[in-house]
Amino acid sequence: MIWYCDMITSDIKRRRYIQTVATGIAGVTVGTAGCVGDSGDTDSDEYPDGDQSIEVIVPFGEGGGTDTYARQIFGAVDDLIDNPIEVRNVPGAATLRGASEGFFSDPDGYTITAFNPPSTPISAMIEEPPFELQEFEGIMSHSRGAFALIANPEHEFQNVQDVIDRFDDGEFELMGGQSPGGITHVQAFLARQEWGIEWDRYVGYAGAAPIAEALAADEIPIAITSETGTVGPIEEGTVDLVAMLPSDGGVVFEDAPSAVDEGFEEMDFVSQFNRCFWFPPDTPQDAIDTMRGLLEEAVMSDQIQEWSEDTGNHIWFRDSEYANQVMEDAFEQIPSAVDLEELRQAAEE
Amino acid sequence: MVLEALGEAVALILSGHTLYFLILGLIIGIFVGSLPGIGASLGMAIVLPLTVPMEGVDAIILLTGIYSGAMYGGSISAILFNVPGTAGAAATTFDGYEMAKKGNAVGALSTSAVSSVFGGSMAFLLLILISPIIIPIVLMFGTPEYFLMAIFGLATITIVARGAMVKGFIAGLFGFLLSTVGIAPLSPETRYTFGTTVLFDGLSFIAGLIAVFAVAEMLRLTTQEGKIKEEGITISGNILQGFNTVVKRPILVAKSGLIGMVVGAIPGAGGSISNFVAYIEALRSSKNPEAFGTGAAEGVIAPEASNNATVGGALVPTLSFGIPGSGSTAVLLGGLILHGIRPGPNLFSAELFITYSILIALLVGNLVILVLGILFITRAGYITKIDVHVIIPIIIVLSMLGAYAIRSNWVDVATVFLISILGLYMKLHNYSIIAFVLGMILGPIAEENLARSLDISGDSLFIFVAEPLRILLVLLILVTVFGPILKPYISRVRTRLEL
Repeated sequence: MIWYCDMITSDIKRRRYIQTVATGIAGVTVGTAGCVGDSGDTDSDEYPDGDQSIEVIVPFGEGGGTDTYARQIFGAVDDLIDNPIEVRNVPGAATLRGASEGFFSDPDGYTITAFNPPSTPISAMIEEPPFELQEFEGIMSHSRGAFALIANPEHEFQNVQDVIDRFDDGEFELMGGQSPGGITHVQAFLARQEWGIEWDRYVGYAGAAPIAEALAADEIPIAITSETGTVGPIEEGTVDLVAMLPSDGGVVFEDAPSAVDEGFEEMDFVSQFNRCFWFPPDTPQDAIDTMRGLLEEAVMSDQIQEWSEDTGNHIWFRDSEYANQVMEDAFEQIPSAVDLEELRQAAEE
Repeated sequence: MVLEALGEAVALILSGHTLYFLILGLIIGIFVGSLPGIGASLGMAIVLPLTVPMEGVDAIILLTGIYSGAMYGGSISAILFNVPGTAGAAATTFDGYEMAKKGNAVGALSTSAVSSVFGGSMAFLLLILISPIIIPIVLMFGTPEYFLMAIFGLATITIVARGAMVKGFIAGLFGFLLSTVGIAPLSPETRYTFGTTVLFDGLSFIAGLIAVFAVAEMLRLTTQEGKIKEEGITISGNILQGFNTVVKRPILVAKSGLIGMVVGAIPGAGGSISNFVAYIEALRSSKNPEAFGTGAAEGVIAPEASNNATVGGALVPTLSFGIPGSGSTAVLLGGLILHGIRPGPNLFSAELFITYSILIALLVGNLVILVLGILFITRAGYITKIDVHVIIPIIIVLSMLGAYAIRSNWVDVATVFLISILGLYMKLHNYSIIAFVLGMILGPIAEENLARSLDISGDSLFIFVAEPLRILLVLLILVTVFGPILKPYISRVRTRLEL
């Protein structure tokens, strides 16, 4: 396991996290499609053919975490090969629009899609798009992100058990999170089912910032959201971090307690996400192996390690098997842990 | 602390290099804003990566300069071609273009410049005054308040319908219906997507605006020979006319600026709505409503005073909680993060100096807009002498490019194509374009906040009267809906009583 973030303190990471998106945005916003250049010196007649451009589809908007990582890592790949590399943002439809374009592209090794299980698999399970997401071929995973339970500081929640007790007492009824039917809704379902947080109604918001505002205004008492989206409000004290959801804790707030530390059942298959790169189905194994090798070299390069150290962005290398495994786990474990039909109905109510 | 922050901000803005960035931003903004379909967000996005080597506050001032400049720049093409450069200048077309057709493009352009400056400055000054207490004000507006404000906006259809009430409601409801395409706001339900993911995110209201204002107008112009300025009319008006016209109407400017600031602070609304609301209010309160749509100066003052003020309002949720209400503020948010300025309540307390710097930059920027607008932009009035057959293809190409640039989705180009035909039909048969646009923009805001309010309240409608502010908004809605219907009866009763 390569935890480059261990090399720096969590305080520095939090401070530097502000610039997490910085380098990414800088290379991003000129247009919806930005060529990261071709300055490599490898000469090969085999894959990748130096004349053919490689397209990286990012199913999120410019400047977000997945986009930033894709541009940084493929910027480093660009130093290794001659091929022009183009990163294209295709946001929308809870990442399914970009995933759809990637899925139906030619399986020739020149179109790569970036998405993050289990978030995109949950969107696919709920929306049921006209393709089988699990048929994507995993190339590698390069980082992970975590989810957190955050609250209005006036309520002074001590820990997860305190949350459970006060919901049991009828003091609170509402649980906030991102859009209904999405990953935080699944987590909220599991938090009720496995841990016993007996929330009555789930209130969905468009993202981490509106959730932080709703908590500060006491529209909702508590919510689940991504750790990275609430670094600012947590540091300023407008919201409280009650617990991290993954058993490994947070990526930015490494020292924060996790619910598993309190003895609650782990739900790692859904409480964190893995940023991965994918090829469309039926891509030749040779192309997968070659691209995985290039990406490993890029991730291990001084350029990416320094970027990770400077910005506090987590980075690791996990191979194709790992990427395929997290996809498989998402499609196996989520439907067995959560009644998707019940979730869909709850979201539609 | 407040005075100290203010002093620091003034010193920064008046230091040479920051002022240069501000002027540069304004010039870029006016240019991109005047190009239909391009607008502030794309201009800011193009410049953002170039700000990396700059100081954080300088970069943000450059970006807000572009934003503010574009809000004014949008009026130039609105007045000259009946095609708003930005969504925030759409209502300016109604009377600005009519003034241009009558040979008074110079007067319309100077009126637009002066109104933008006065309305915007009033809002920025007000924000500077209330900045230290703005967080509690922001927190007063939650989900139920947003829903009621969206309904209030929809209720104004009764005013814009101008007698053709049924046609107004049909246009508004049709706009609302189009906004329901895609994944529902607060549930994973898909509506009218026909199984294709390209429709999952629905139809873009920006594409709708480009269609009804830019392309539909170009289609209409194809039936017209010659120039935009009507034959036989000489170009008249002068640059002082605008100044005089605006100075004589301080209440209209103040009211429109306030509307711009408040509506700008509502996520998802922004300039695309505030200019219509200000126009509608000017129409409602005018002693001479019949003149609207025929070249009334008030019809230019209201939207222009509001759209510049919107910039100030939009900064509030962006700076205080990192919630961007529009494409432009989303890019601005990216700029803040890029330069290590973290949005949060701190920007209105410990780091108030940064917020003040931005607001004072906008105030100083307004003086620059005034000089540029009065001395240089008014000369563009002579463009109305160019043959329309030269203008039409340029505008249509820019519109289609702008539509594709919204989300890189061909559906937006198709939307422009189809809605432009519909828009032309609506214009020819007196269906309110404003009602259609209000329905399309406010529909999703109303729906999302209604659903969330009911989630919070457990399906109880009493949530909408649970606070004094909400009761006030409900009363405003009732007066707006029933006022125009009851007005003739009330007048009749009054007349009888007087007799």
